[in-house]
Amino acid sequence: MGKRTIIPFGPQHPVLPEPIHLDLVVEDETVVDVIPSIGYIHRGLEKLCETKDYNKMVYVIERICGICSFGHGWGACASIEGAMDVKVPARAEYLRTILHELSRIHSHLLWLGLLADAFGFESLFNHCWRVRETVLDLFEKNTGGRVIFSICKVGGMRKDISDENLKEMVDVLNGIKAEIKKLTDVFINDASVQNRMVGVGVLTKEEAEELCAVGPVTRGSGVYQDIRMTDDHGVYGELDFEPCVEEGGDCMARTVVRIRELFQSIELIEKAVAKIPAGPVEVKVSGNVNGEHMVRLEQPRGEAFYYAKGAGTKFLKRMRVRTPTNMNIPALVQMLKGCDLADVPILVLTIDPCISCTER
Amino acid sequence: MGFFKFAKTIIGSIFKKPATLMYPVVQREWEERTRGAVGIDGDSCIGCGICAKVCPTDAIEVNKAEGTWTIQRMQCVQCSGCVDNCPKKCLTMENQYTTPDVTKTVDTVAIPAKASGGASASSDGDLVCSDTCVFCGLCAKACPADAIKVDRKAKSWEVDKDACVKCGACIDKCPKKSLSFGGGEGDAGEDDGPLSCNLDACVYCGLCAKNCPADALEVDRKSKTWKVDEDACVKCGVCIDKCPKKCLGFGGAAAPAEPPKKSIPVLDAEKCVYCCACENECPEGAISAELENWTLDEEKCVGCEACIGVCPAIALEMKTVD
Repeated sequence: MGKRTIIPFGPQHPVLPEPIHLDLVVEDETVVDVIPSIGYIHRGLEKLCETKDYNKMVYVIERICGICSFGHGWGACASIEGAMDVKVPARAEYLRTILHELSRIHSHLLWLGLLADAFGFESLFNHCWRVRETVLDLFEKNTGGRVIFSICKVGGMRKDISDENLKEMVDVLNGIKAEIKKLTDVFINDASVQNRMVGVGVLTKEEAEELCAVGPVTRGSGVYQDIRMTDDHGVYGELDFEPCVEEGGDCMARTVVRIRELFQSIELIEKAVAKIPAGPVEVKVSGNVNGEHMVRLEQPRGEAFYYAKGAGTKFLKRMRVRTPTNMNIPALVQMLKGCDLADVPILVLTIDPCISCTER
Repeated sequence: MGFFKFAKTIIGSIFKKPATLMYPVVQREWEERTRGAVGIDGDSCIGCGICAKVCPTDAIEVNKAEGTWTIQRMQCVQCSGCVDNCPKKCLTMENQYTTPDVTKTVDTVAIPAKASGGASASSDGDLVCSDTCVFCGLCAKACPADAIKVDRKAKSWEVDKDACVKCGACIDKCPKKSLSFGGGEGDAGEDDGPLSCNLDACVYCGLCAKNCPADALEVDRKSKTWKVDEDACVKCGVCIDKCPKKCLGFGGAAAPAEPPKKSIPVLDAEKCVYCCACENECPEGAISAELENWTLDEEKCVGCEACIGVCPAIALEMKTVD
């Protein structure tokens, strides 16, 4: 048995897009314990929400995260709508679902690129982001923003997306399907990728359930759980949604879950565009929030939770957001125990950490 | 399983053009909806300050006394909330970004120091309401600043002068034209009898009831009844304007002097998506929107334009027929 050493990892590290600090307790080359600490990027957004009119607040909530910004805007709007008993028109629900799935595609492509970057596959990284650019262009065309969409508002959508644009969206997505397939085949079949990922950082089904892991992390460990099939947000009930579950529990399984979700999202968008009803996209909302409501959404990284409480004024009394990475950090600590020091960057990346979300 | 799975793609892309543009030599074409920067037409601005109020980042400042409209470009998050809420539509969201700068840019645009123009004619004085007011409350609904309070039962009309931004939205909406800035006078209401309907001409389409701001009308197509609650009716005349058959009027027997020329919806088959919204909306059941076969029963059609309003594809247009 070797001597115990503590190696600091982060908050600045080449694989980390955002700051998280891990104290790695290593014996020889093996990690035996991990002490995570966050708090480098806290912005006090939840408090800021309490000082803004609830209609302006949506713009703040959207900026919690640059990658899952649509879901955050949707969650905030849905929780306020719930507290005010506002029913959103069907077309708005469909549009929200379509845009949410589109942001899942963009998020997963971004993540695949980062993963390739983490194990030094630079050309794969660049190609993943090149394909992602197509999705960003779709966003820009339909919502006006590439990253922050500002299209969701309390009571529906601020702009309608015409049926021609929706059809074009499906055509573009079907067009890049082949390219995505080419890239994801490398992740699944290439030996150099497999050497880094298969059997690394196994999280068993029991551990995933016990540590309350969410999203692709828990689905990669064989847990049949997805908020899209359990909660009533969006129109997933009408799209024959079935979660992607893999049994392995290792880095490869988590990657395969996300790859399958990429193609599933394209299919969901196609189904939703085929079924989208005509009609208005917003209802008029007047008055102030009086009451409370809770909403859960399946973000690209997993289950996110939104809670709004108002006391009859235009300012909310409390806006609470719990993001998926928050729930996945205990699972990450569990995965890291017993792994090689050299595998730490990849393991940190496979939970798809979004620290800005976590700290808000 | 194997090695060099990506080699083919990499070798292929050696011979392809780069995916990126040679910026700034080659400029990107922006989408129509791209939110680049807020622009303003200073001449038509009335300095109401609603943009400053709705701005989530307090980037806009409006100084009416000095006639300036100021935006902190670095603070603006391009949410386009100001553009959506501008009552005069003088703000626009341009799809071109502002040029990069080394300092925090502040743009100041001159606006008329004393607000003028538009529907509000002379907006120097305070908003006043003349005695032709019927207390329908449409002005209060239209007010973006919630400055007007109307109580129909107590017959009271009040304006909060501090909150009023003098945008003139209420003046445009007032059915009796009794609102003005600084003591202007509206048209006197000439029809003062109770609202009545020429039941021979009425097709019970229900558009009058739909548009009544006071919910004073009740129309049942099946039992062919038309009822007005005279206490609730504020005599604003909106129903008379909306009636496709022109069978409504104030005071006793209101009969159309001469039936107006009939107009019917005409379909642009290329735009139509056969969503059946028109069929569902038509109060007379005159439309059948089967796939690839849109038909209109001209006999039944009353020309109420209800179908035009619901068509999501803007495929319908009203045409006058003899």
